[in-house]
Amino acid sequence: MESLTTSRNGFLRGLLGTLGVFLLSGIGKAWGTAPGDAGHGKRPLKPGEHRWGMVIDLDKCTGCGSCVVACSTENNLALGNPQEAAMGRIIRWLKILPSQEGEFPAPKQRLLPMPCQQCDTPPCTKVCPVYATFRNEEGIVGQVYSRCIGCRYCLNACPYTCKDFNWKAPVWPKEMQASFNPDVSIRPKGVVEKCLFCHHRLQRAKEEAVAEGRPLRENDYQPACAEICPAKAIVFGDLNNNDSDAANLSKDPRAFHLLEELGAEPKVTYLKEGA
Amino acid sequence: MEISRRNFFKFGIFSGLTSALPVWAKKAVLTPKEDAPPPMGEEGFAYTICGLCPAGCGIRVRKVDGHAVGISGIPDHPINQGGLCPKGAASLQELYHPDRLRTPLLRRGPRGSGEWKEISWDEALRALSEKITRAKSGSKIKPLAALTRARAWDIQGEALRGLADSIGKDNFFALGFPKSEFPSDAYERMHGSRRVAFHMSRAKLLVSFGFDWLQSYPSPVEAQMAFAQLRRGPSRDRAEIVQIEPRFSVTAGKADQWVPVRPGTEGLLALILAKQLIANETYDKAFIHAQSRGFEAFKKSLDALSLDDVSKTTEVPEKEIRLLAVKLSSLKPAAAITNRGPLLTQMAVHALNALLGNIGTGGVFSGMEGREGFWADGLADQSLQARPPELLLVDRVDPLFLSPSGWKEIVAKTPFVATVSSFLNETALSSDLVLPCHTPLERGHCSFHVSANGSAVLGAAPEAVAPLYATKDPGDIFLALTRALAGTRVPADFDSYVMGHMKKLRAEKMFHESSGGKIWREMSAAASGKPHATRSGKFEFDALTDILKLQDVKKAREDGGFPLHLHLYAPLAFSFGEGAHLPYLQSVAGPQTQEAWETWAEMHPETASLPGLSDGEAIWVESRRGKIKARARLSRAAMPGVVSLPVGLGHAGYGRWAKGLGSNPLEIGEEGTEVKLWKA
Repeated sequence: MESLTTSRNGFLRGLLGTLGVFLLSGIGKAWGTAPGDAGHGKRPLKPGEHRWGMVIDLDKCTGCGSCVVACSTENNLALGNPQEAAMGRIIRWLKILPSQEGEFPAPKQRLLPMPCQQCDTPPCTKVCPVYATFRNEEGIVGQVYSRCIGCRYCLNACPYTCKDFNWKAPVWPKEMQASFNPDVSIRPKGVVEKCLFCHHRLQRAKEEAVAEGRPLRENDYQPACAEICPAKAIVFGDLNNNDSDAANLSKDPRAFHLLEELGAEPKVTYLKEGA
Repeated sequence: MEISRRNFFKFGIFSGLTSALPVWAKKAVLTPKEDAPPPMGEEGFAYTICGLCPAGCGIRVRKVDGHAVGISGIPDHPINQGGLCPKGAASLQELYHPDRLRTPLLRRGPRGSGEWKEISWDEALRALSEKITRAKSGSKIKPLAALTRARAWDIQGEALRGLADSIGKDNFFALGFPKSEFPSDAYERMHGSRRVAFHMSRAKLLVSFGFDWLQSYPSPVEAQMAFAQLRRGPSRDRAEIVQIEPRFSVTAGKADQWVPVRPGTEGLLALILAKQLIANETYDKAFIHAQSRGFEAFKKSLDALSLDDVSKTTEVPEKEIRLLAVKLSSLKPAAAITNRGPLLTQMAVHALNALLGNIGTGGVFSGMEGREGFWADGLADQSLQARPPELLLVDRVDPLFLSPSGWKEIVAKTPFVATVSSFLNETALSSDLVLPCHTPLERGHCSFHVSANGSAVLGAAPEAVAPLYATKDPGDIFLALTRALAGTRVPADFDSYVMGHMKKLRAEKMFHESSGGKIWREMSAAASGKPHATRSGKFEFDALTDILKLQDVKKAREDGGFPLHLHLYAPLAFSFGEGAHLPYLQSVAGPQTQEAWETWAEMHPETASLPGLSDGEAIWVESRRGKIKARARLSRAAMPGVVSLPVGLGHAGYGRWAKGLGSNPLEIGEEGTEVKLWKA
């Protein structure tokens, strides 16, 4: 090692060696992974593994907002206030996205429930410098609050604007803390948060399945939004299970994905309005 | 550490090697491990009735260590089938609201000053029963008027009725959303029954006259379910949905066609459609001849209407009206629905249903057996305004918010007002005594509910969580008062009173076994057979013809400095005018504009007609009665000449999230009131 730092010869050898390793690692990348995968993205799923997905039927959805409130309650979302609303800083993991076209007397309107699209090749995970956001083996895009450094790269990378930043620590009156869902942590100031498909419910369902000595069944696990939808417009399930409603509906002729051309491969499928 | 040549290279090599690690190794090292969920306290589920509105949805409350931490619908409950509306989903926030009332309050300063003395329950009940006794013996005027929410039978209402009956007659009143009683009034005059079943999902064409039914149907979950059925029912074609309304509402946006109409003229449009159906001879002749009375007179009374005039007044093009008439006569069954409008509109729309042959077996409307949907001695506003009572007992409603014009006068003229409420709302703020009550999750339920398709559902369940504070069940309060006043023959405590009723209804088993989740019993299926309970046994057109004679339905537009029309609507988050006290509901109140936490006024950019007014600016909306502040939201989808305002905000109390936020348009008028705008 001494020669590396003392002689000109050693220095050049070392430099060459480093360059070589760099090159090799580049080749390794080209060999080892699928195109479009830049690191912590896609890994082929083992057969039999789950791949969780959601189908939202816009023809049935009435824009009532039950899903938004159910999600807020389930995930201990910050309450919000008029000041935050005015700044566009209300944190909701699932929002109803309105859009209007045309004008009086024949305008058109679309109300679109928008949870995290749970991409298979998520643009947000690729830019995270600290691996705080990642896609797990069952397809859910996670967020680790204790790792997040609040750089908001992922928030900017998400084409669906489904990530929110905690500009301030949430304010929780003492009385309301009694209704915290114990399965979901309270986010501190300075981290990014997002919809996790109610991942904690999956963990509880798995625990239960293990305790009862059986495999996880379809419908053992439903996120809060799908569970509460009064119009039954949200269908959730295992896309790898050909018998699941979610898998079948996601192949419906009415099915489409938001910003499909970006290639993020979202696992939230929408069914278009109309016959 | 010093940056020597040696260290520089050491670090260079280290970082080089790290970045050279193969992807899988990096991933293995850096990908977060998914920890097992934290250990949880003792988990349990309580099954009960939501109770936030009269719909009667079944809910499942998740409890951990005794705290309610989650809420969902009961999947096989006959009313909500597992779904919940946003309000039901937010009910934990009401239970744990930091500004809930915890002790009875006696007014100290002048009314409305907000100066209170905290007193004990014994003192409060003694004070109130003494007041009632004195009122009873003293004067000739009505000693007590009890006011509660219009709903089907429940145990708390039964206790209040018992109290009212022990003091006098004609003293029990129901308060609904302004004008919400007119649909039932119309049914009663034309059918002879207030009990009408509504098989909305049977329709092939559903035409709503001014009724934003997705947002303001009295049973919100059932409305969303019916919509999904109309769109994608299991075995039927897609129904056509037409929305006639002054505002491009949520329902209008989801409908196949939106027909903008001037506020308050929906009834006129229904009448001209009736005339078209009759003229084209496309009405159900068999039904009209066999089962109706007064058709010829009604037909004659329509002579005064011309398509041209109506088109001008309603601002709906003639072509559109003709097309609607064709749709109504070709898509069967076609149903016309409306709600919360003047009686004329209600009856005109219902006459349309009769002409379409929609009433009776197989139709969209049918008569219904079973219990009364609503019970009350009458409309409080009118009769109490003329003769205010000595003492007013308000049970969990807010008349000063929902109908401020009439009720301010009644409250001012009533010597003593006692309010049962969980929050210091408008009426509680102007009361002399405030009695804090349990929220729905803390009280037992025993109640009837009528589902939209007409089945009566009996629900019985104990409280989901133990009361957080020293509040009382409203029924308990009324029973204690009855006991103090009448003494004997009243059960010693509320629990035995409830169990007595359960025994009568054979519901004890249901009540005790509620942990299994089966907290309901369906009482009767939707009735068939005789559709009309009128004296003649027929559908009555006369009631409508009589009203038509009295009114100049073509009332021309008056200007007089107020060039615009007010349109009021109730967002689903604030259904029944309640909900602004819960932050989660505030944020879903305006789904179309993502507007929340304030009162917004939707209007067409041309309507604003204020030079330089831009989207989002503050404005005053002024009527002859007063003015309120709102945020202007300019939308090219809005109907010109109309200013639309949501009802539900503008509270002087009602907890920290509602207090001082937005304005109450009911203060300045009602549907169709003429207004003007100016910049604030």
